[in-house]
Amino acid sequence: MKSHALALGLTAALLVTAACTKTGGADENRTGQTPAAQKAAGTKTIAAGLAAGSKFVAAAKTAGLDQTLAGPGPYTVFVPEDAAFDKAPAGTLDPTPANRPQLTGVLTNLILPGTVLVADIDKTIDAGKGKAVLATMGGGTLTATKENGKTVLTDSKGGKATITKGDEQFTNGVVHEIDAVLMPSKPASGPAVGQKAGK
Amino acid sequence: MTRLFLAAGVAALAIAAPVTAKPGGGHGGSGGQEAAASRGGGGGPGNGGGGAKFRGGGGGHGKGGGNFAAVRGGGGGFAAFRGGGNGQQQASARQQFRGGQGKQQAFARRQRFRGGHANQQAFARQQQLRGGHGNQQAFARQQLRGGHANQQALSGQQFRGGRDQQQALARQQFGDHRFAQTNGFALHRRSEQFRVNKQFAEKYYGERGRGLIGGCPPGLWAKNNGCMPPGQAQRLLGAPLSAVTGFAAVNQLSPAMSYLYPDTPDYYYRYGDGYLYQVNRSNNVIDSLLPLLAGGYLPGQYLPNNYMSSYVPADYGFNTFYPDYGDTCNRYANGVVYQVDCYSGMVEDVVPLYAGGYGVGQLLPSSSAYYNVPYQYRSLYYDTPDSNYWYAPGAIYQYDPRSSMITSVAALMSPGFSIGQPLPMGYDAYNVPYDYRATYYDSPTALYRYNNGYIYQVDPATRLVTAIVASLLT
Repeated sequence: MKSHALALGLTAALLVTAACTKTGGADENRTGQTPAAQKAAGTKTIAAGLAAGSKFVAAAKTAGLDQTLAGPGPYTVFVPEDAAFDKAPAGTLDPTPANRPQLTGVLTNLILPGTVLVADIDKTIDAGKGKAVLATMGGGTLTATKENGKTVLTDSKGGKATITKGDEQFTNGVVHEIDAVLMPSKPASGPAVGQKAGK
Repeated sequence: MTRLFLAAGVAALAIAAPVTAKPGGGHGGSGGQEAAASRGGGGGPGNGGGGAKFRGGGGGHGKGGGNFAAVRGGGGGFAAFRGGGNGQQQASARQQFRGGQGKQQAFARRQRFRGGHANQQAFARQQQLRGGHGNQQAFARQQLRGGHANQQALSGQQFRGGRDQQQALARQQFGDHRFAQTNGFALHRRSEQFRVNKQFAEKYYGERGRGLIGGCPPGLWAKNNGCMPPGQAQRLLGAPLSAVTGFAAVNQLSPAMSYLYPDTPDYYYRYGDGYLYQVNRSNNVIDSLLPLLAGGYLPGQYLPNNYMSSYVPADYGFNTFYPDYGDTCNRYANGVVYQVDCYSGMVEDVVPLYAGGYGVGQLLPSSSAYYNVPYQYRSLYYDTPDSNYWYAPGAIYQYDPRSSMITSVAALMSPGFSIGQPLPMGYDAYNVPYDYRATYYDSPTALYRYNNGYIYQVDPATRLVTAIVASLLT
């Protein structure tokens, strides 16, 4: 009888612990995705797969994109190595609130809609007589080419980045690591002179 | 001893039960919301569901028989709600169809500032009939928007555009659910702000302040976030925080938002009147301030002349998404599109664009705080007590419903495809998600591309988008 009671007590205690853990999870999700979005995103998301202490993750958090990359997507993300962030002009990519617009512009220029594998890019380069234009979530484009057998991306300012590690697959997309930060076509703040709206 | 164990077990179970039940209950509520959203309100007299912002809850309200249809404009892709029966007016209040709306939207927008006297009088009568604490807010909104709201009431659902117009009607019909939702806090804050804004108006506007609303020029007051002109704010740099609290309600960031502006050993943050103040801990002096509202120019203000030549960028398709029409011009600066009167330069509307740098940590324009998430994303991003969702070109934003501060980007959105259009530049590479690649693969007879939750079929010969073949999210 004693053992039964002990078992019951322990079970109840475990239930309490589990319940508390679950509640904690819900709290953690206060600024995150809805349960439905989390379910659609799957368990192994891009956000979960990125190195927690990396500079890309810090920048993504600052721009509010960490939750985006935990969502259903799917997205193709070009993730610059930490060393690439160090090479960027001083202050450009600092993960501070004041720098948020700049980071937003830079990071959205590194994200493509859908799942684009390196093979898909290479195939498009072949079909496109040596280059492929990729539309980014930031509204700009990147141009992909092949150089010395490697896939190279060029931004609108001529900056280049090579895919050093491609096709890291996640439930909500794919990540390609690159060796440089590609910049958007225009500064993210300040008046931008565009074309006159279509009439 | 046995009894002791049993008692401990029962007590623990008693504690566990409500805790474990809570998420389930919450989810049930969410499910109801989802269902209401996806049903398009299944109909209902008055409050008939659909637009999540104003729906009456998971329970279906009666008749109407609305149905959703995914509608695409020049880009983006919005969900439009077509109500039936009694649901029509409510449906029109919830329609968000910016892309391709052309004349109707432009017309509706012009009406906002040129509403006839009859409408103004009608609005005044409405205000006299209304009573209670919410009047100040309703007054401000109605003064700006009452004219065209009345027009809409006359013409049923004929007007599709005009975000504010829709809101005005929605607020009339639903008693401003937004404020009911945030209730005490918002009303108190608003009332308090009314008082301090009056002081501000007396200080900065003198005699002219008499015609102001709540101490603000109408455009500034309508933004629900204070009325300090951008130029005035700059004067506060180097001033003690008390200089702000003298004329504006200054608030601490809630835990849901404080991670966006984390305090440091050297400084802390406060916000109020549309600005975030970084305050030096050592002397309580404002070290820097960040505008929390899109762009810094608000409806009712005049866009500087040099901005009038700052056209909406062509990339992302925004310039076709926001065309000039008649005497309404769209101009771009600081990550937002300003819809202005071409002749006077007066800002009529402000539309933030995520890719332009507007987003997390900034305040949602109050004129935009309604549920407009594209249809295919509604089952994923539905309003909860802690978070609401709002779409603007480039992103679905998650925001704190109490402060209207954007807390996260729930999803990035690309400009969108429409059937019959050429495949946009940049989509030559195959991008279909893994799970669908076995079914939808490029061949000599068909190409497949993913965009905003859908897989589209493209004719390889003409490069025209010919069909939606799969919806991934619904």
